[in-house]
Amino acid sequence: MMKSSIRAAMSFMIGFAVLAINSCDLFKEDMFPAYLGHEEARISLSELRQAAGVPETARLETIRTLEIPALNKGYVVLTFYGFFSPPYQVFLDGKSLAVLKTFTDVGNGRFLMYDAGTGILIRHFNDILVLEPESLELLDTKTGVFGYYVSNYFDDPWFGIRKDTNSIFLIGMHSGNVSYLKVNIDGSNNWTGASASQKDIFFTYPSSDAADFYIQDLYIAADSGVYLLLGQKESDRGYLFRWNTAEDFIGDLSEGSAPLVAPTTNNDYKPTYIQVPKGKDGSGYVCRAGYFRTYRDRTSVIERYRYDTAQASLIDSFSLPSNFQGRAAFFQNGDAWVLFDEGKQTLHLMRGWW
Amino acid sequence: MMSPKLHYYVLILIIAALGWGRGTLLAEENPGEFQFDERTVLMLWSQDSTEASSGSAAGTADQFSQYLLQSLRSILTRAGYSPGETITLALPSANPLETAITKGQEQRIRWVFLASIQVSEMNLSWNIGIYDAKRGSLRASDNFSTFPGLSALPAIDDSCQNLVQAWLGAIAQDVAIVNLTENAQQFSGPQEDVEIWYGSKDTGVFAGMIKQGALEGLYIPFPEGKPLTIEAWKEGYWPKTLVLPKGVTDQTVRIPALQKRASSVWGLGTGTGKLLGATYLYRWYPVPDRFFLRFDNSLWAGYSFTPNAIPFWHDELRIGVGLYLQNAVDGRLRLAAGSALSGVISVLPSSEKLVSRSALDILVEPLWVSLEYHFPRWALTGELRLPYAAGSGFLKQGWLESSGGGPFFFMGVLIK
Repeated sequence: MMKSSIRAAMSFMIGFAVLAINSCDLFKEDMFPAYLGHEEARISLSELRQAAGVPETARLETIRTLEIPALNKGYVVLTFYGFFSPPYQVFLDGKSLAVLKTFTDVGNGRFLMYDAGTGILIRHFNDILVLEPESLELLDTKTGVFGYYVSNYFDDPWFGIRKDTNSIFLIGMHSGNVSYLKVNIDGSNNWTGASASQKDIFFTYPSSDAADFYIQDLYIAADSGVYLLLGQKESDRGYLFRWNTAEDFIGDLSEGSAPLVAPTTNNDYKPTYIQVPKGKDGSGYVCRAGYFRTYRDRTSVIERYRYDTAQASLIDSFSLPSNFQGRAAFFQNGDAWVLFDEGKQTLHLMRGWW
Repeated sequence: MMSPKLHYYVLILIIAALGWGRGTLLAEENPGEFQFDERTVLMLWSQDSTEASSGSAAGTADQFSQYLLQSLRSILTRAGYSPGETITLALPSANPLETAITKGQEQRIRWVFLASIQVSEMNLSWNIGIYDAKRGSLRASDNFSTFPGLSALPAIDDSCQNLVQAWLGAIAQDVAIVNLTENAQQFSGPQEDVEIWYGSKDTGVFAGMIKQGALEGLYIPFPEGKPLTIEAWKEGYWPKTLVLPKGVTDQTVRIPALQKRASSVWGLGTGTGKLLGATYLYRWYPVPDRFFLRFDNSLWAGYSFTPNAIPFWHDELRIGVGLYLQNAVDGRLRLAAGSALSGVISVLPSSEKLVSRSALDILVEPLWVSLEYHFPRWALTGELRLPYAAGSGFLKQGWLESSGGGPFFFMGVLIK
């Protein structure tokens, strides 16, 4: 009797296991955050604040990644803002999340740029600081690039891209519009911000649509292609534009008042583009491995899409805890990414799942 | 030593006295009255041979009396009644009705035959009355007188025959008269060595034990069509009381499998959130199948089946209490609820760049609920748990939810 009972029970268990195997997604579920299986390094925000000297009153605002290919080095750059403290920018090691350097009074915007001939550029008040890429020591200060005057005021720069030895284009948001600011460099290496210009996307007439979009990401691929990711406000979609070269991109940006996409006199500049679904939090990321967005339906996931096709197509997804709250950032040419768990107040350096 | 049949009647009286079922064996018009044996006949007789002065006349009277009683017994037996005790009265009763009723009630026997025989040198006469001790009435009578010779014997037989027929005719319309079954009840059941008792094990009569799935119960002349209570009993199992609504019939009664009386249980299972692993559980029941303490140990890995993932190992030790919420301790479908407290040790193994680290998470479950389907010696269990993490380890403080939201689901088997 006992043996038959055990036999029956075992049969049931085997049946249950077979059923479960058939739905493999069930096996991915863990009571614990599944992302921990991809963790490579971790730091709690309290540890980070202590090491970086950032007070509790300053709130984590942005998480950016920066790669220095020549040095095989990467940084995770966090920006903190608070009412009762100056803004902070903290550089973490991209392989260990160790706190390396903290800068204060970094000014508005998410501006971060690596210029191979110059160094790492960050904003400081209305200046641009030039940092040595490996040691993060201050090399130079370019004063007055962002002035208080209408001519060169630029409230939320994101990226920079060098056009030539005489100019750098900064792309960002200004007065709620997708805009750019040309920084002129003279023979004495003085940097001067020109006036910020709004950039229409699809049309100019009857009214500009620059205010309908916002910047999500910029990626310069190994084949020199430039990808600009714009989210459309009041919509669940975004647009991923591709120019074959930085020159095309800058040419398109600086082509007078013509929209980015609409045909003009020089169609060589014009990008190809695809629609992509926006993340639930409005975010989107583009890098070598694909287009990423956070999504929450029955579960919380990060979805990865192909973007080298006529339509963005889902490749795979990465499960997050159902009640997860936080943000991600991706190294554009590496396999690592960064995840901030807001509930646990921890920052994780993650291996790619692709 | 009690005769076997008397044994049955005692049982019948016990069952009737305990009032199991509507159909007590004996008369039931007025439950407060005496309960009577209706299939036995009490025989009282007296002989008056005082006119016979000689000893030979008295001997002749004895022979006629014995012949009359024997004739009555024989006819009653053929009619399906059991001639009971025969009591000799010293003198003919001055009030035969009172005498018969008194004796019948003393013996708890409804039918009382009272025969009075008078013998003299030239005359043999007899008077037989059949009394109903329950109702206190005369139901039939006969008397005859003849010469006390051999020619009297056929007359005695005829008189007894006529009397019994008259009595049977008189009671034929009596609805309180019950017919007794002539068959033994057949039983079957999936479990071996289950004892079947008429009534209860404590006070009833052992009907037999199921062997090779079948049993022919001990024959007892239960009344036909009346509900009969039986109890199935097996050592270490919960007894089950059944009521056969029509009493003993020619239909085989299937005894359902008895549920093992659980004082401890172990089990295996797994569930959402820990499918890459298993849970071993042990329950100890201070109150069998009612209240238990539980000890679970789960070992599992979290693994996302994606490139570059490493398994995240967990071991959970969980203790708790549980209570079955329904009345029946041997029900097949059972609902249980309880509380638990657990500690989960998690180990994130070292990788190329990561140093191994571990942490202890404390989980509190104010309420878990399980639904179980029980077989005699094992059960399927499904459990919902919604733990609250204290935030001491890898988990953030707050309620834990499955990836789709809501509670975690555990499924497993319990071995009793």
